[in-house]
Amino acid sequence: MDTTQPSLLLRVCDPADQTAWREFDTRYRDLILRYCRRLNLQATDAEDVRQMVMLSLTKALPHFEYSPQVGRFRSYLYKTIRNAVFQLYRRPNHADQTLDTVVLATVPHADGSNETDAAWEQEWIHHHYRLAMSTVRQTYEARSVQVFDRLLAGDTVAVVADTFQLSTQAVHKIKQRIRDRLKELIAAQIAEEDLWSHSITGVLSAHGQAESGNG
Amino acid sequence: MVKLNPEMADFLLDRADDSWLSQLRDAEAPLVLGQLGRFELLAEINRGGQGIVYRARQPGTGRDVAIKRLLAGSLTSQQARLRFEREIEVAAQLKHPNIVTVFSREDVDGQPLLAMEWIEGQPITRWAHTDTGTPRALRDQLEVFLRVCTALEHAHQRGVLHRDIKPGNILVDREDQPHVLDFGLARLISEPVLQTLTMQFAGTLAYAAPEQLHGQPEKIDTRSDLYSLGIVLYEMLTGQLPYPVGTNLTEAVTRIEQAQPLSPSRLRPELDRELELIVLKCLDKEPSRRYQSVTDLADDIRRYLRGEAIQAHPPTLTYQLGKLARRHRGPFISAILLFIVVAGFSIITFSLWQLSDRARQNETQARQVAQHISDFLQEMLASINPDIGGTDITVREVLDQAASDATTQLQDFPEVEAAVRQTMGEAYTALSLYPEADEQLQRALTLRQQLFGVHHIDTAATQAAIGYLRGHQAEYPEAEQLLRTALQIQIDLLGAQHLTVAKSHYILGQILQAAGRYNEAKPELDSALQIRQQLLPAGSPEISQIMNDLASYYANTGQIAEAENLYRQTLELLRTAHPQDHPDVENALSKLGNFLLGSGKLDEAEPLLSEAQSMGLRLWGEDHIRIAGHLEEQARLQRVRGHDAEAETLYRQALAMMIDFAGENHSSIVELKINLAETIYAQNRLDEAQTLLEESLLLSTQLLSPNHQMLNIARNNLAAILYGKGEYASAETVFRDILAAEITQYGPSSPAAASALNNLGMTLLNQGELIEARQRLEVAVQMTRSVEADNPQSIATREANLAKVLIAQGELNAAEPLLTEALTLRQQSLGEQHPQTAQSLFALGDLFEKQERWAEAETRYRECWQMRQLLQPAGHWTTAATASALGNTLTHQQRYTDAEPLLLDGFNQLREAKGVEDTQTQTALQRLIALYEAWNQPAQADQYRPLLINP
Repeated sequence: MDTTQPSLLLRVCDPADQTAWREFDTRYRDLILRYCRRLNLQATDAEDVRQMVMLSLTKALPHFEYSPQVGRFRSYLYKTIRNAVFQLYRRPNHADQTLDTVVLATVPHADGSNETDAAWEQEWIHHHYRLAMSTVRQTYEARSVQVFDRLLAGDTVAVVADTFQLSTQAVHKIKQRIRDRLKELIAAQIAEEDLWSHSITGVLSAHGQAESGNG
Repeated sequence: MVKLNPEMADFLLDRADDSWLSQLRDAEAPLVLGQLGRFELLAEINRGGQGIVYRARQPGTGRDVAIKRLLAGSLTSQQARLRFEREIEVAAQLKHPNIVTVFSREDVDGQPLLAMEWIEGQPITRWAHTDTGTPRALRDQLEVFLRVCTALEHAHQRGVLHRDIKPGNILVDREDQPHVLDFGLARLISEPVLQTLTMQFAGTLAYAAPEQLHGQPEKIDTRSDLYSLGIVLYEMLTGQLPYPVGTNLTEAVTRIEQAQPLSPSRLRPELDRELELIVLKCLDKEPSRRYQSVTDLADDIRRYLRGEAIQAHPPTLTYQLGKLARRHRGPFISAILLFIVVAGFSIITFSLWQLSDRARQNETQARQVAQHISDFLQEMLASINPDIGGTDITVREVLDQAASDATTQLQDFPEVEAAVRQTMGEAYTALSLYPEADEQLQRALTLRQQLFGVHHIDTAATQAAIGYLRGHQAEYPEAEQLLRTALQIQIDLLGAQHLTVAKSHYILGQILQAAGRYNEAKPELDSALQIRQQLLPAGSPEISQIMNDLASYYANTGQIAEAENLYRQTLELLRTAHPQDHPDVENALSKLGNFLLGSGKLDEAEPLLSEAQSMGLRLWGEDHIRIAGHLEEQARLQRVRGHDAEAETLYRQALAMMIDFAGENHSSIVELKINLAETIYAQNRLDEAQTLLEESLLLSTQLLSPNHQMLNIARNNLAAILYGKGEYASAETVFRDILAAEITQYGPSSPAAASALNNLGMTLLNQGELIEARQRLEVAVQMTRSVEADNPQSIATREANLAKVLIAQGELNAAEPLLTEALTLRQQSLGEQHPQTAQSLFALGDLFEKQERWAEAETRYRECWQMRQLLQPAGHWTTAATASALGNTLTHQQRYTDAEPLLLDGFNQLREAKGVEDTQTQTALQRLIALYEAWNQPAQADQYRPLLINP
């Protein structure tokens, strides 16, 4: 596994890590917005949800070691988003509230289940594709990326080879290398997510007995 | 090699074909932003601390517009929102060819948006230089700059400051026309604390006047905008800022305060001394040494262009430096904080005459600072703010941290500290953390009383906030007293016609309504409405909000026609404002529909609720939390119609959807489970209903305050199940407790007390305690007629119950009018075909039977029997019991042939449904035997006699 920095998700749980949150926001913003749009939320409501989710997570993540039966991160995030969507619409008609002060979202009770919906699964897959591809774009030589982008845009290997004056074999090779790299990166990304869940579980088994009343 | 997770297969990277490529293509496809209100969003243009700007397309005209929306969106406090809207109004009044035109203020889901002219252009400083970096001709530059000056003059003459002049807010289009943006919009900042660290904020900071850094808002005026214009001009001419702001915020602030600008001619030698003097005069640290107005600056530039002598004199910078260094004291971080807050306020409408009145000006401005801080914190809390603190980041701890920061960093600014504590208190209130809220608000109150005394607008605001908190704690007398005190002070100081006063009237009205003191609530709501109608544009959500509360006042006091009228008015108002599908209309439809449902006008309620639902489906699609709400309404409708099975299905759908969105442990689940349990109870599945209710009672005790109405409802319904199971003594104890609790909470006369009295009366009746039962039920009927005049079903039920006691006491004549009225009420409100109407018919039949008025009894029973055959499943025991009773009336009228099949069917079906030993079956059996005896068919009678338990 060639991620050099410690897991972002673990860093976010560490309150001393100042930059982790900004990275976290950048990494998950798109996923949250896109999923909300799939739920037919307006772009601006999706923004609200994103903020509520982030606020909920700021509140919850540093305390995760006390929380029993946490599921996998992706289902946890899913529930947090669904809850925020709920909170948003639970405020009757948004403006028609008697409270004049802020309303903060709450984090759903993690029940350890991993149930999500198909749209979320799809968006989650896309999220990992985007993340991995952005790493590829940053770390591969520009020309290879350009070649690959033409393939991505739908050009055939022959056309691309012609455009870049490469052999078709060379184009095939670039494509194959990027595919292998994506596979590797995505696997690492998922492993990183699960590392979070596992390390939480690890903490739990150590503290589980004493903290069982605090769920 | 990384070990692959099972999910890896879903990425299709191992498939032989190119499906992974299309996955990747889909993943990287641009996010489709969709519609916002009537606009089609094209792209996110700018995401700043203040808001998000989208490029959007206007329907119809097809032209592009810029849509601006507060970043905090629906999380924005009401207060901040109102101010935003007022500022939008001001900005919309600015009509100038070089100020971006505001097309409209729109409401989408109750959130204000601004639609503005879309400017395809570039920042003025970038425009000032060609692509190769060489400056444009000096005259061209100055002429464009002069147009910017005329735009600012226009605003300043109308008392409007920009406060955030920077190149990004002055765009130059292809025709070389400059457009000034963001008048009145750069107010709300949600992320500045982050940005101070990352220096994204430096872009704005570089153009801020020194007085804007000091948190001395009384010193900010038109000359501050002029300073910022000076920096822009400097950058246009030289391609650089007058002092490097670098990446360190502290250094940047120091430079702005102290550093002498580099002479423009050092950077662009062809610039002559006169123009240099004009620029430097704008940049003087001391506002009194700058041009005193943008007009003066523009005039000097025109003089320069005409070759005339200019008025600018060399600034004495070295003298200034020492003076400024002495002036800048106090905790630095606060200065930054204040700057951020103050700089965010792009607009202040102010009266020029106030400038001469220093004392008054200072107080006003000091209050503004406090207000800004408070708003700032609210926004900060409402939006994500990950970098704050550095230790532990829960919302509570963010609040606690902010509170302690307030103590250490704002101790020299007690008025600001008070504002911060007020905000904390309000945020804690919103989080239902009442003791914490109380502590902060009490400290704010002490500070403000010390600072300003009791008779002060800020002190009053804190009192109102504490009153609001007490309202949440169901401490109504104290809440009322606090709000009345605050209100009096606010009226004294602001006059009666003020939005702050309106809000206090409104909250007081809500508290009085919650306390059940409807008639005292009314004038408060009226006043609030009158003020808001006067001061806010027609159709504002704040107005329809009060109209809905007023409507529920009318409903609570039995003024059904007025209530209905007001709900309808609100709906019409919103329909006119939004001719197409709109969430506000959807909501108003639901409200009116629910009201009509509650007042028994089912046929009118149904189309409204259906319209609300289909509008909801068009607006949100199927998988949306609002649809769960509509399902709930439909369930209630079906339940009232007596279609219990359908109601149950709908409740279950709504519940599943809610759980999906909110999880099991949520207060809204409580309500749904209670209603579902009630529906199940109505279908006589008592154990199932009991389990559900026990769940919701447990949940309510965890989630809701002990005084919450929902808790009493859950307890009441559980007791009703005990009642249903015949455990009357246990049920009685619970009902007595509930009655006492309701009286404590709502006073001696309320719908809740009436319900508790009714239930207590019925448990007493079933235990043979007729005297107390009658007494309780008589009071229940009287009370229901007065406090629930809009609820014919409650009246009918309680009248029918009282009739039962009267019948048990042998007062049959007194029971008759009660039963007749109950029947009429049910026929009118529930329709001719309804289980409860059938029940009323049966009760009347039973009464006439007891009086041996056989023909009348026959009519009622027959009607009931026909209805039950339609409404109930075949062979249902109630239909059978009715057939038997009907048959018996025929026996007594010697119509034996007609009676026989009815009595036979009745007996057989009851025997089938409830067993032969059941009392109802035995009654039917006795009637059958009586028929054969009367008919003189002893053999038949003998055939059935052995089945009698007690012959």
